[in-house]
Amino acid sequence: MIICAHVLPALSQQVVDTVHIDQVDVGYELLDPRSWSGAISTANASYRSSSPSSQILGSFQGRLSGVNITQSSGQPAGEFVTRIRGVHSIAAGNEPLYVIDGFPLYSDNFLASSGVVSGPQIDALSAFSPDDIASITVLKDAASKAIYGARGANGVIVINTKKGSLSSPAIELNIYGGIQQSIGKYHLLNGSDFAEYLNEARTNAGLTPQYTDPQAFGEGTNWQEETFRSSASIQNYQLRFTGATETLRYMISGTYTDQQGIVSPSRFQRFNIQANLQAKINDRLSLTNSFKLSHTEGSTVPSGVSSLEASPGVSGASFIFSPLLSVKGQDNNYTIENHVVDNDGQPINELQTKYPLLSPVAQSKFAQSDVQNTRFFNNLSLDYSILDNLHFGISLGIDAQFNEEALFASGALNPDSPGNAFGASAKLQNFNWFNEYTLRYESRIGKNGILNGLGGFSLQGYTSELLVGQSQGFENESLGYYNLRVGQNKSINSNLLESQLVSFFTRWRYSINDKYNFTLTGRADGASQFNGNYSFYPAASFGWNMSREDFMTDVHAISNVFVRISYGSSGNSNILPYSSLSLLRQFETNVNGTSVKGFRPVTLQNSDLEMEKTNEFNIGASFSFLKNRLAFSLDYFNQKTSNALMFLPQAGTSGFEFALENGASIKNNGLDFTIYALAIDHNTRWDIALDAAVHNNNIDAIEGNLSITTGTPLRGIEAWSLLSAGNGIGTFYGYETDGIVQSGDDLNAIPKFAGEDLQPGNRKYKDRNGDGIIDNKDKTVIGSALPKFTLGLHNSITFKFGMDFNFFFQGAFGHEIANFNLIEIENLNGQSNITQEAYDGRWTKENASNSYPKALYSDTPNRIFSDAIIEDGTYFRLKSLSLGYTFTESFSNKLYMSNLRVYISATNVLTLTRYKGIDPDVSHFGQNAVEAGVDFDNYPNSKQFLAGIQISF
Amino acid sequence: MRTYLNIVFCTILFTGGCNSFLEEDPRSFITPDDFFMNPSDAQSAVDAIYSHLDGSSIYANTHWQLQALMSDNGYANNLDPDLQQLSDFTLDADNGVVLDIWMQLYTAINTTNFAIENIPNVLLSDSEKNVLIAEARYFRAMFYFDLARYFGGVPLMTTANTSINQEFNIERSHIDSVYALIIDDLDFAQINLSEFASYGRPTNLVASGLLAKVHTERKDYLKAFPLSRGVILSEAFSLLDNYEDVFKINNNVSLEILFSIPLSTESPGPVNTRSLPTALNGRSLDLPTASLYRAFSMNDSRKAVSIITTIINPDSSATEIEPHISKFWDKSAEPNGGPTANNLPILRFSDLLLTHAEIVNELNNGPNSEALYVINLVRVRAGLPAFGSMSQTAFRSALLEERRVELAWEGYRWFDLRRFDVLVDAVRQAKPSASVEAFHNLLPIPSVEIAKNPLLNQNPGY
Repeated sequence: MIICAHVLPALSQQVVDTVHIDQVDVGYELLDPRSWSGAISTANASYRSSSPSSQILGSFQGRLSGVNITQSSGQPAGEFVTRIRGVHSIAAGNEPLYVIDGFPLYSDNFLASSGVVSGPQIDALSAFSPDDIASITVLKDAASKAIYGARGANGVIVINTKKGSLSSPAIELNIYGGIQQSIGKYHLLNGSDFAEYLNEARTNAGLTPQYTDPQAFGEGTNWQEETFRSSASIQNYQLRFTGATETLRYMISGTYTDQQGIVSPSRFQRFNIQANLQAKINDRLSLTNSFKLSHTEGSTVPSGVSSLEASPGVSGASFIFSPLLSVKGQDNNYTIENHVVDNDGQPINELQTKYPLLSPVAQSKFAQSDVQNTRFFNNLSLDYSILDNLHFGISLGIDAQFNEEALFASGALNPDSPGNAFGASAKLQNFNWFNEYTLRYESRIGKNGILNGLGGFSLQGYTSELLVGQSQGFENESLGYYNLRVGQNKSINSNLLESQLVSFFTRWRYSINDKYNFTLTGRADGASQFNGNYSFYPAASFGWNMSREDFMTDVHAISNVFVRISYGSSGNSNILPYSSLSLLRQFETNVNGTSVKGFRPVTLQNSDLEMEKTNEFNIGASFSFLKNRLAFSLDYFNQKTSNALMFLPQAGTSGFEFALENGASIKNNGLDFTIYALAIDHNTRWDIALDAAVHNNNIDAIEGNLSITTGTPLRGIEAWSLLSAGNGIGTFYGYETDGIVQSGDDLNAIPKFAGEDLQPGNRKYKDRNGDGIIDNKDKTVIGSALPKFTLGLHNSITFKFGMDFNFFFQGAFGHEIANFNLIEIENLNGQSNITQEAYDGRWTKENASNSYPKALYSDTPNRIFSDAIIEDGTYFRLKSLSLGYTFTESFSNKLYMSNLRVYISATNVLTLTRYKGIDPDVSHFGQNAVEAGVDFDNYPNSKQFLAGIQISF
Repeated sequence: MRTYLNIVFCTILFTGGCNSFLEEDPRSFITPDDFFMNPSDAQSAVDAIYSHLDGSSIYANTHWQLQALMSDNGYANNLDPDLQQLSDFTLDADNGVVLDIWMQLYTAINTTNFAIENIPNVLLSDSEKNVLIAEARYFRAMFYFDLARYFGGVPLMTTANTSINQEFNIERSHIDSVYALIIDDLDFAQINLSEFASYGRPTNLVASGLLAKVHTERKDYLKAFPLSRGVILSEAFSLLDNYEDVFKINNNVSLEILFSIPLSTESPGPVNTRSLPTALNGRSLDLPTASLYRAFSMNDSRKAVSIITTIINPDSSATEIEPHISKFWDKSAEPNGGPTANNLPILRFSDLLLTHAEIVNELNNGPNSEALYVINLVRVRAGLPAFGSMSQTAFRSALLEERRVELAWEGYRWFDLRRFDVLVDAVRQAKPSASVEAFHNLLPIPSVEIAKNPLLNQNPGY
């Protein structure tokens, strides 16, 4: 296959059908998109040449309407978060189903990682190279998703890899390389300002100033500069052979990717082999095989080393760490802990007692965290045509992953007990098999009708086996995690998870004259996690190709009008095995030196547990004008998940805090739309496409009318996320600030926390219930993590002389980010470095600020989750920019090439945002929807500058 | 639907059908159905109860704090609103500490019920079963006794809950029914527990001691008398010579302890972290009132053990500090303070001696020689003069005061004040700003529990 210099951006189907995509994979069938009456988005491979990404999902960010992709961290191959038409579940995952070359898979990272490595996760799809992708189709509405039944509700992403084509055999070589830089930094205090600030904080607290001459410290250490590489390399090589004979088509490719991270020593390497074969055995029997083998090796950056869980990792520490400390101390050893220094810059005492904090440089030097993954994927399909219009198909797929994770934290990170190194190593084997039988039928009905039938039965099984060993206290560290036996306090753990799915499905399409298209779909799934209970997911849709009506033939301005309407259901069954069972857990108690061990129940059995069911209505239309030079497409959807799974609080008398129940209902509605214009088409061609989605999510009801506060504790803050009817999933819950106490205010009249000694310069909080004290009852909704509007704007300009120019904007609007970093760096309690903005805006007697409190030294952490750390997350960015040149055929032929293109590109070039953190495209808790929109200690994203060459022979 | 599909497809395509294909067999987890197959599982189910008694349990954390803060003994010195509420008697039904007590005790009760309900089905002799069941019933009684004193008549859950389809929303029982269960459990425990249970586990005499306290709480002194007397006369327990030695880590195992919360370096308790000053790696969060400090007479040897007022600096100079509770700080074993592996006694022999004195005083309408003998055992060890005869009322006050100093910070005070019906007066004297009322003799039923179970009614005053 030849990469086409003429680049089309990803467009939603209804626009694409106006611009020459003749086949989309809607699951089990390749169809002409004009005959499909559901809502889908699709993209072909050519979009990639404009801005390569080493990851599949990275390539699609902002490019598919209604699909919101977030990169949770800048770790190379770090986890992506994908949301299609919103958030549908609280306790079952929110990631879509991926169907890769016909094999349905989840990408959930919690099943792909053993959890030993505590830093940013490696994305589960990172094993696959995006260079091999031929097309991607996103199934968005019930009519499209129902064929995947109990796994369809979060949307389905159908990915097909490249196949051999009948054109002459070709060899392709694609190479790109470049550098990456951190997308930004915090503007923090330098050494002398920090010393001034500490003096002021101490004076305000009635303590003696620490430093006689703050200016003497000069710039001090810029820990962010010490931590982030100024340039990290990325390179990618791919070689591909394609060709075909009468009976065999083949595509064989090999890819090598090597991406350094901007934080040492993080890195990601991928070795990937892919082979796609299609063989025609005889007139009736044909065979297709998709084979992928990949090995990836990554190093991640620890985010809070296991033995010191409360500690911020490398990034977080680089913000907080005192600029007065040097990277290495006088003894030429690395500085480890955050200390106050004396006038000569020598450490004297610890700054923080409650939460240990380690130097970011020391953490990246002394902690090693590695991930390896070997993945074998094969899907073999056989098609036998029983009659000319009746086909029988069998698919047999295997997806096996062998994952190894290991962590070693040197005792050097623990100066109090230097022998106390920590090592852990884990092996995780995931084995996923799939066996499917289908029958396909096609028949003419009458003169104008065509009936297509599909029926099938499938079995899928999943096994995940884990073995973890760890030990603490190493007499000798030289062997690291390779020999855990050297350590003491050894512990070992293993477990096995298994699940099975049985499915029956059918789809009937009836088309009259290609004008009226009716579709009926149904799938019944039975899943082991749900006690073998079955759920049935039906859907119906109708599409009207209005442009085929007689009355349209004379309307020349309008080239195409297509109207579609659908209603139906799809489900979500993505919960861990054994979730419906009562399980016992072993507990061990040390009773006066004797180990007393026993089992007791820790979960409640719920044999009535059902898979989630999302009912969805979709209505949409596509129009194109002026011979398809202008087109737009609009879909409105309204979804309700009525039996959403969540962990509901139980009456205490049960002996359990929570149990998994079908306890909530969740609504999502919104609009997906696309506008396409061929702005110029005269020697030069300029394509513009705008993909956008407006979206609204809220919890409709929770059983028992309960409001639940949740949230993984961060820096001592708990219960910061709210689940309650009327609010969206991902709602921040905390205090509202009310300015700063000013001199002369009546201190007794100001509501305060019990026991708080309020002074001028302290922060005030709103007493919402008016009882005179600030407590939990004054907490309220202070933000929402889910964007209300997302946007991608694509421009592709190709010049006749071979030049192509692409630029792509992407944005998310109307949401908030909880920037937990500010809990430290805008706290002004003398315990951490702070932002220049907070320093300049702090309250002093002379500068009666109403936004930042006064500097006030305190060694008891006063960490309050309030709107002071909630920020507007809206951003709009020039996501990528590329310039390419395709040499003329005559020139490339002289070099024995059939095609030669060179290009340069840049990613994350420019961001417009009011967000104060490093990057608004962030998710500290990765794919967890309830804890979305958190920035804390995050590995920052990077800017990329690449140059590449594409050669075909 | 399911049956239909199974018949049509699965029987054709598989031997065994879809049912077995979709049946979960959690090979790395035990379910209740797989348990109690082996005799050792019975022991295991009982041993699991101890997981409710470690460093993370309410006994190591909230129990002693609540008893100290909701009394004249201590006050909260921190911004934690829940503890501040206890200390100021401004607590409401949303208080997190109260919820924690409710949830943890019922979770622990379910563990005991799981053992009590299933052990009879295990292949063991009746006597072997009874010993194990008795141990579980001892703990169930202990948990319900605390629940009853904290909340009054509580819902009586006596079934092992493992399925969501079981009924959890039950009404509060009358206080008499709660005590009937407690007494029944302890009667059984008393008869069936071994005298020679390994140390740290309840013996028959420990059960008798707890039952004596239950009857005393019920003012059923006639039933209490032989029990406490029996424990004392058994000579299984005795006071250590030195009060200070009771709180040494070396004496986690000692003759003075009937039952204690087992702490260890793996699962330490926070009592010192919360009570000691910063210099000793504490956080000065729960402090003694001036009233408690004054309650120790000058020549009471327990004063210096219980309360620290000076810190010895590294250069051997001394710094005066506010009084802090230091009785659980074992200076030699844990010189730096911090999280402690020092067990927390929750049933101590001196408590039993003083309880016996209380029983006799009530039965006899005044202290006789037996009552004076047992109280003086405690006093004389502390270096105080022995009491002579006095009136019943005077003895009551003296006894309460003796309990206060002997058992300070050990999780007794609020229970004692409410049993002697002097909570309001005592707290008002020690903490004039506290808004204590008679209804504070019980805790509120947590509001979230009422939201989940509408059958629960709130205690008066909240």
